[in-house]
Amino acid sequence: MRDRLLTVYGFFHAWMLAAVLYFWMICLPDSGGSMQMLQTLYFFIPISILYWNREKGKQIWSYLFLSGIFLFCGWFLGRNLLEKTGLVIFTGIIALCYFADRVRNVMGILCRPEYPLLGVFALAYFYSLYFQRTLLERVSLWAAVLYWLLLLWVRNREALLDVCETNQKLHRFPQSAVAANNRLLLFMITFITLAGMILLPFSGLRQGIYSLGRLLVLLISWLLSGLSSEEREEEILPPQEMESPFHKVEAGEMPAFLYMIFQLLEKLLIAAFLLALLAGLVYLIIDLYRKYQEGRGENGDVLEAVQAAGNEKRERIKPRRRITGFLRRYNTEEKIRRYYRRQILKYAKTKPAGTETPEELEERAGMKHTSEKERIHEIYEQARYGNVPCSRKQEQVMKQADRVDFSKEIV
Amino acid sequence: MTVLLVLLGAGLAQFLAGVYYKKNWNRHLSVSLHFEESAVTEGNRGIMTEVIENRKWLFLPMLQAGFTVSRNLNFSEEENASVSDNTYKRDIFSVMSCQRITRQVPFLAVKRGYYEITQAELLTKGPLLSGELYSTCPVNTYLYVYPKKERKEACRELFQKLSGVLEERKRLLEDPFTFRGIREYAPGDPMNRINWKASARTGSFMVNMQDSTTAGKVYLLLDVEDETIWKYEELHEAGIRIAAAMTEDFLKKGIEIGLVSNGRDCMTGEEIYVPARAGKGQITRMLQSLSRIDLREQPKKFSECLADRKNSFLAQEAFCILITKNQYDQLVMAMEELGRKNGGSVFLAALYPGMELKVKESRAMQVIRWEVKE
Repeated sequence: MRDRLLTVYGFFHAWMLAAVLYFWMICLPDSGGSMQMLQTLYFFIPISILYWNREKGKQIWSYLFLSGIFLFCGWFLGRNLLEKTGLVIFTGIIALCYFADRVRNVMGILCRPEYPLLGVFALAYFYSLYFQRTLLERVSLWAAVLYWLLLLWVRNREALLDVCETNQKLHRFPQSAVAANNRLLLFMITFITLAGMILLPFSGLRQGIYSLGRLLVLLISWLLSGLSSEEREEEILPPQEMESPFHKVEAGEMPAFLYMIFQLLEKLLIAAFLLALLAGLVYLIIDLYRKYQEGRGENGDVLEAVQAAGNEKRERIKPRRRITGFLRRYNTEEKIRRYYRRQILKYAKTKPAGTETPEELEERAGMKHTSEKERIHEIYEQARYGNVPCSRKQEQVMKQADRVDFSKEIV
Repeated sequence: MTVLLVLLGAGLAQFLAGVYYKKNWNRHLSVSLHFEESAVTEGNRGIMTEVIENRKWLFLPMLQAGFTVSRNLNFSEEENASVSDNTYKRDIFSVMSCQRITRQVPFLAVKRGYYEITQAELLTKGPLLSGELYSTCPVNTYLYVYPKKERKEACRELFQKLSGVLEERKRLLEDPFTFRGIREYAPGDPMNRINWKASARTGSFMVNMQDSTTAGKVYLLLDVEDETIWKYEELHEAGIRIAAAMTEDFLKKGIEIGLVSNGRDCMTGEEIYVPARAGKGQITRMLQSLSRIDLREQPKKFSECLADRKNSFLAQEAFCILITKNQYDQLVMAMEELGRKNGGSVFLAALYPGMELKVKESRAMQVIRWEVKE
């Protein structure tokens, strides 16, 4: 027998699919009303009863009998031909799907929510936008939100059952604590997901994307044909910005970049405030829960509350690479090392590993033992390992080494 | 467009939550394992304590802590241990924020040895119990399992024999310049020993007692070598147990005792050597050294070990007790030599009932047979 909670989630999943598809069908000729929305509640009855019969019913005739009854009820419930047809079709689809599951003895499409099925709600939404079906737009949007949360809960429930099944024979497995803490974490993740769902659409991202696009167009046109007059600037200003305290009084006073930045800052501050509020609420819940759990030893374990760790001191271990070039030039020692490296790479057949000594590098590069080579070797060692700074003259010597052929032994 | 942003927002929020969880789940999370006692005796039970400490607000609904230990520490099947070449133990906890969980796990010390746990493995699930996150945590705990105590009756007989040998050795090598006490005259005592003043006071003849010239040190020589390809682990274990029992007995009597063995230390790989001392710490040192003998390592020939240490034994006038199953000539001759020069020695042969004892007793060397049941 399937887990009860998963079964209930499955009902919701099947109902939401059937309801949104039915309502979509009703909205094909014109916008649907609240009565048709209420009609969708009917689907709960065939879903739950047919599922129950699928699990418990011994005779297939009982299933077919119940399916027939629901089809008749669906026809009876509809007020017009479209509604009647819709109710019958979707009741029939539900009955057929459960029947197929029963025959194949599997959990089919109506038993478990899947991510691709979000596409159904998205398509309904886009249809409603295109054909201006306001109620359908809202219904499909809310359905998408709830379906995503349902997916979250179902995945989590399945994972929890899997963990419990794998470890139930384990001695002192804290099943109730795992379930309780998992519930709490799921609660937090749900909050975070809802926050993400609310913040992103209302963060002005869409307007921001549109503004960026317009700015890009403006920049390109300016590059191609020079800065234009006020006409172009007026195009940039969206209408809702006139109400903002940061809106331009007259064209040319505040650049669009700055305006956008102020808009973004405003939204960020609101988001930060909301997140802080949420974090405070979450912390309060966890604190209450922890106090409730304190001292309750499960399976012989001793539970104690401890202090949170203080702010830790973090130290960078790897030295940061110095930024050179325009901002900071190489010093003499660095230049000597760079010239030396150039020489080695010039003669070496393979790239050095980086762990060799200068002697090994020169040997592998095949540089012959000459006085010039000894000289640059000494200069390099001084630059690389020495405490005494190198002079400009030594740097020049190293630079001039490029003219010497170290592959030949000069007699 | 709104629906896409809504779904994108949901996905992004979950993704960021997942990333945060993955990066921070093992921060301020510590696992410590320790044995309640640093040493237990073979065949006895001990308790191991696992402590999980989570010092952050992020809680872990499911945390699995596991470690590997020698299979000679037997955790019962109830205690989530699977045994193959080693014992793999795993426990699952559900750790709240800022919480410490302490769990005590009993075990049975099946075999003598030195056991270490150096690492604990942590495994948890992602924020929605999906996916797995793994980490390791260094742990530093160890346990000595001392050799089992031998049967009291059999040991008593052995110790009586050994005490007799030691006492005789003391009498034979008396120091005329040291005074131990006065006792009543017994027939056979020389006239020059009579203490006339004490005799006048008591009215009967009283004689002086001299202390022994010998320092009174005893060295246990434990030979764990197998001459042939046949391995006699049981005999060597019996020898180790006898050595442990002798250590306790001698130290109780205040006799300084040391240990020399050709068995390899499981930690250092060196041959075991414990200088002769008395006192509280000595019994711990001796038992720990006996616990660390690794019979799987190939030992050196014991006659060579004896040759290396002979001068030291002679200098200290130590009384040597050899515990071995081997009876080759070089060994016997080395022990006899030590016995001659140090006023006696003991050759304790740990053998199965069917094995023949070929070594002959002599004035310098006492031979004792210790039978080990097969």
